[in-house]
Amino acid sequence: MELAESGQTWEPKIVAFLCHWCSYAGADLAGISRFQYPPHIRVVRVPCSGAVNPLYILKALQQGADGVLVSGCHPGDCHYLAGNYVARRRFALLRNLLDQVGVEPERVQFSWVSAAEGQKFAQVIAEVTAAVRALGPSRKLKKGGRG
Amino acid sequence: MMPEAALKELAARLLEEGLVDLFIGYGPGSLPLRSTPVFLRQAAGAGGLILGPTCENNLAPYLARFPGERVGLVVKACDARALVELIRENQVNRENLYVVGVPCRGVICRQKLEGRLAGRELTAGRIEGDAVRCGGHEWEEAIPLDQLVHPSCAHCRLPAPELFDVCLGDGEDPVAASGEALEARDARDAGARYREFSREMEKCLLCYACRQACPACYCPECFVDRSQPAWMGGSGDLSDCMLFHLVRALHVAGRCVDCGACARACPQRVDLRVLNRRLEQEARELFGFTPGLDPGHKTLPGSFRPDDPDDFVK
Amino acid sequence: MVGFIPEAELDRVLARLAGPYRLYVPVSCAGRVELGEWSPGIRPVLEGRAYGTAKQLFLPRSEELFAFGTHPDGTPRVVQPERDRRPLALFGLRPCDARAIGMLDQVFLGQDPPDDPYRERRQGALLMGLVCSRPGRACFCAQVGGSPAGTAGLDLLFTRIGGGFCVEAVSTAGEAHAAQEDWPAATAAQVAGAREIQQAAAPAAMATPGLAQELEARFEDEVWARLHEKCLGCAACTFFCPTCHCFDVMDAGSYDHGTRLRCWDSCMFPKFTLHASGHNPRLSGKERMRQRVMHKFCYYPLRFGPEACVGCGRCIEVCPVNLDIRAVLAELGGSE
Ligand code: SF4
Ligand code: SF4
Ligand code: SF4
Ligand code: SF4
Ligand code: FES
Repeated sequence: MELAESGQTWEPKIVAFLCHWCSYAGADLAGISRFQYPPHIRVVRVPCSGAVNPLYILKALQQGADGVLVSGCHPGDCHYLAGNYVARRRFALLRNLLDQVGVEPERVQFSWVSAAEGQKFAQVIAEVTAAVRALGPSRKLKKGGRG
Repeated sequence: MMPEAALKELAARLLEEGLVDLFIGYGPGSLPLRSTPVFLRQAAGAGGLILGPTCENNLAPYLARFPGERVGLVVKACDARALVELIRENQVNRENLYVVGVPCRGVICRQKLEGRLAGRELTAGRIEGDAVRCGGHEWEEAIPLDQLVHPSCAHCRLPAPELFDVCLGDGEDPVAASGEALEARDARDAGARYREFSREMEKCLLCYACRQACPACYCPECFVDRSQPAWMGGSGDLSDCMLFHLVRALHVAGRCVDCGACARACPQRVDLRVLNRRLEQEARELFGFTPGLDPGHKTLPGSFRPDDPDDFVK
Repeated sequence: MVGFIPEAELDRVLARLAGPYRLYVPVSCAGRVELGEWSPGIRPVLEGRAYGTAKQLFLPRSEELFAFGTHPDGTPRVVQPERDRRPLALFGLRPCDARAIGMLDQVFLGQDPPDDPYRERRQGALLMGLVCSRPGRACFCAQVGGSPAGTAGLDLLFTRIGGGFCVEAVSTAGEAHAAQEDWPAATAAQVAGAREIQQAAAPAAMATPGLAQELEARFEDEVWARLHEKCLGCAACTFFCPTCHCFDVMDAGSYDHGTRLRCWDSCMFPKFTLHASGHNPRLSGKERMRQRVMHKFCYYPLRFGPEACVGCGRCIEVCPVNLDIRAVLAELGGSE
């Protein structure tokens, strides 16, 4: 992390919360299919996108993540029926709240990726990585501002 | 009858006839232009109840402490909206409540008052009609009430209680509750918004007065108090203050009734409304949701529509 | 000897201090008086006591005790934090605040071993007090054994009279500083003027003897159930109290590197007494409020003598529900 901070070899660090039933399987498929995608994500498997508390996202940013992705089943396909619908509301509010306090909402990304969409998974990761790279290192919510 | 006199009479009657076990209202505070919550179990104390622009606390958070008791509660319009949310979320039992709606013309913002007094110590104050008469060592000044009302009150669009068993007075005109249109989204750039946010958060001591004063913050254990996992360092690191306030804002999104109790409780004058108001605005515009009106609705975070906006999802 | 500093000289006196010391003075801040670091051009506010405490300069809200990690060879590494080692100087301190620092001294220096970070900040600090000519609306120092002209904890006492300040050394450190400064002696008339102001400020009410003993016997009294009723259970009162000093020590970071921090804690928080077993001996607001009051007016005085409250009135001013410690004392049978 210190290295990254010196700016010499900064590479984006992205935490990806993937729902067990769809996006995690989609990531698996991407791997099995040998689709190329940038190696910057750290995957955290969660039962459902609805299980992702915005606190997890903010905490990741506080602990040094440059970006966060939450990915779940397509609307209508959630294993728990409506987890992703409920999550969607929360995430809309979170993005707007970040915007209000001057933190780039693009640091926090969302996607629906099914178990059959290995290709889409690779593409989403490429897009998210590019977006976070463009924003540069994240500092605004990071630990160490005052101690 | 003046609302205050009616209140005294009503509270005395409720307690005397055993219709409530406890009556929670406001009494005169120990500092000028302050009131303080009072808890009456006997009719004898009812004569000390007061109403008016010094009654700045939201009394709804106290209800959780008296489960099973029949409680009479004084509510201004915003407090009543908070009560609607508590009922919706099954935190209080409507049957056990006797809700006394009171007219409100806005409560005094001590921060505005301090600014106006510019360092002079206020040692006496009283409300006379539309004027707040202030006095101290060798000075006196009358300030129009509408210049001192709390920003939440100045923006209050619903100044009459929505929920009550009895509503006292016939809806006095709020002095400044212009119901003025909510301001358009903050036009400043992200850098300026972040600077303001940091500046406010720098002031925060994590004393949690805001949380404690808030009717929507009733979790038996707040996430900041958890030790496994320890979400917060408790150290007062700027990022911890930010984490607390951002998560709190999200937790009360769609539930916050903009009573302003959190901001008024803050000893450090942290501007907490910025976060809440933006989310209130989003809740209304994105999801057509206004908290505090209909206890029959589902909560905002606990419900959805299939066609909720999702243009931000890849 | 009593020295005299003309009002116009004050700036120069402060400027001389600002080099060797980290100098804090009361400044005006958006309608409030706060302690702020002095720099040229800053005019100290001479009326009213600061909203925040001087405590935070000696016992900060949060401080790093040390950082820990491992050397490349795997051996543990502990690093002391860099600190501004210049001693503190406080001008315009109110007598209640100085007295409160004396109480913190008792806790952090009066024990063996003393507390190092506190001692580092406290050692060599110069406390310059200002007599309160007009106590504030929430002040009650006289009721708890203090005085608006008190000297406890101070090194130098300033009394503002027409045209300037009479200065008296009230400690050995104060004497040494006065000798070094060599202020011109005040005239007999100036001294008389200062004495008059000090006497006018002197307490009329006196402390309540026997309160501590009485409270000890009233631990189970019914009154506690009522006293806490409106308390919200925040930490505003304790964080702003100049004598409250409870802290928590915690590690931030991970198991192999991080910092050990000391932060304010508050007996008004439910978690304060939460045991690892899950048991909490102070389960409700009642027990917590009782602890706060008992610590100040029973346990501390039984152990050290004076009450652990200097009557500054800050808790009264900051409490969101205007819970007034004076009223609490009155209910408990103290003076009022
Ligand atoms: S967040 Fe503040 S304004 Fe909203 S309900 Fe809670 S106390 Fe009232
Ligand atoms: S009341 Fe103010 S200082 Fe206390 S935690 Fe809330 S914002 Fe921070
Ligand atoms: S208890 Fe209140 S009045 Fe007493 S020293 Fe502490 S803050 Fe001041
Ligand atoms: S400041 Fe007031 S409400 Fe907060 S803990 Fe102290 S007495 Fe209770
Ligand atoms: S199970 Fe995949 S989003 Fe709910």
